[in-house]
Amino acid sequence: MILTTDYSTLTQKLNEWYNESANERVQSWIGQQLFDVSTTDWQTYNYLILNGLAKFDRVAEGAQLPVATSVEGDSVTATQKRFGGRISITKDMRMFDRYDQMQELVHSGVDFAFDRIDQSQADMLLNGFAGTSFTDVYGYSQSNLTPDGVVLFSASHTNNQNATTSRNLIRNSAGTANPALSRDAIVTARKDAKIHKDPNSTNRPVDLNLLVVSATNEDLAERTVYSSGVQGTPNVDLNPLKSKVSNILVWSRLDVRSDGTDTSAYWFLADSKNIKKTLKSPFAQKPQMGESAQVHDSLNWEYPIDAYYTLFLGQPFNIFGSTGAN
Amino acid sequence: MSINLGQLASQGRAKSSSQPWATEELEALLLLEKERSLNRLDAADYVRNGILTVEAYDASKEAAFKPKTIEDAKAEVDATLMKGGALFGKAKVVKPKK
Repeated sequence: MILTTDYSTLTQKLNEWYNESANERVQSWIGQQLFDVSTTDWQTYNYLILNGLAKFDRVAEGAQLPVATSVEGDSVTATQKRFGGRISITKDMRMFDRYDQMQELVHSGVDFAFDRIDQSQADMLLNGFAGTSFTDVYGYSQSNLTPDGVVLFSASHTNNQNATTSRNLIRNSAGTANPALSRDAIVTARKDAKIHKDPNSTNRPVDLNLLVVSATNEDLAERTVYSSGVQGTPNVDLNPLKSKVSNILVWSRLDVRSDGTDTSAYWFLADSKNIKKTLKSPFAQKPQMGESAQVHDSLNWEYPIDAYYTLFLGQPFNIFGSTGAN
Repeated sequence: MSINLGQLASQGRAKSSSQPWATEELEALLLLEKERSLNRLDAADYVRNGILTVEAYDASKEAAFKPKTIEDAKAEVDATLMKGGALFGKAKVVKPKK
C-alpha cells in the first residue's frame, strides 16, 4: 500500500515515467521541425514582417543615409494560452500498489498532450487554404491569416507598399492551382519561389528544398524525388529533383484534419532554412508535470500536466502549399 | 493571434478594422485594380459596396453610383445613433427632482 509518507517516492517515480515518455514524444513531434517552438517569456508576442526594406541606395557625399522604418511592414500579435489536464492517482491504485496503471496513465497523458500539440500545428497548414479562421483541435477559434490579412496559402498576398501581389499557392506548369503531388508541380512551385520578388521588385529567392506530405503520399513523394530517373517516364534523364529537394518530411497528421476532413492529398514545399520565420509556435512553457494535490472528497492524488503556447503565422513565402485537388 | 486589421483596412487590404477580406472579395479587389486601373482604396470601396465584377463596376459607373466609404458608413451610423440618443455623452440627461 502506498501511504502518504510515500508521496515523494511516488511523485519521483511518476516524474521519471513522465520524462521517459516525454523524451520519446519530443523525438516524434514532427511539428517542431517546421514550427518555431522556441521558448519565450513574453505573454504577448508582437511580430513584425517586413516586405523587403528598400533602403540601400547610393548616397551623395555628406548626405544622410536613407532610413528604413518598421512602418513598411505588417504586424501580428499572439498571446500565450494555457493547455493542460490532470492525471488522477486514485486511492484504489495506491491501496493496491497498481503501479502498472499509474505508469500507463502518465504515458498516456504525455502522449495525448504531444499528440494534440502536433495536430494543432498540422491543422494550421491544413486550414491554410480558405476562410479567415477555423476551429482548432481544442474547440477554439484560430486565425489562419498571415499578417497581410490574407489566408496562409494564396495566389495574392498583399503588401503595404504598392499594389503588387505575390503567391505561395502551388500551381502546375499549366497554371492550375492546387495540383496533385507531381514532378511538374514541384518544379513549377520551386520556380515560382525562386523568382519571388518583394514589393520593391527585388528578387528574394526562396529555395523550396523540403517536401512535406501525408502518410498517404509518402511512396509517391519518395519515388518522385528519390528515383534516379524521372519518375513515371521511360526516358533516361537523371532526376534533377533528387539533389534539389533534399528532404521529405512525412507527417501522418496531415492525412486527416482534426475536424475529420480527409486532407491526405494536401502537400507542401518549404524552405528548410527559413520555414520557422513563417510558422510560429513559441512556448512559454513546454508540457510539464507538476506536483500533485490531494482531492479531499476522493483522496485522489492529482498531477497536472500543462503547457503554455500559441500559434501564429509570419512572412508566408517560406512555405508553399497545395490541396492536391486538381 | 490578431493581425493589425485597422492598418490593413486603411490601406484597402481588409474589409474593415474587424473583418478581413473574404477570398472572393480580395480577388474582386485585385481584379478591379488591374482591369479598371483603380487605386486600391477606391477599388476597396466598390468591393465593400458589393461590386465584385468588372461588369458590375462598369454598370455602377454608368449609373453614376458613388460607393459609400467606411467613413461615410460610420458617419451614417453615428448620426442614426445620435438621433436615438444612444451615443455616450449625447444622451439626454434627466436631472433628478429635488
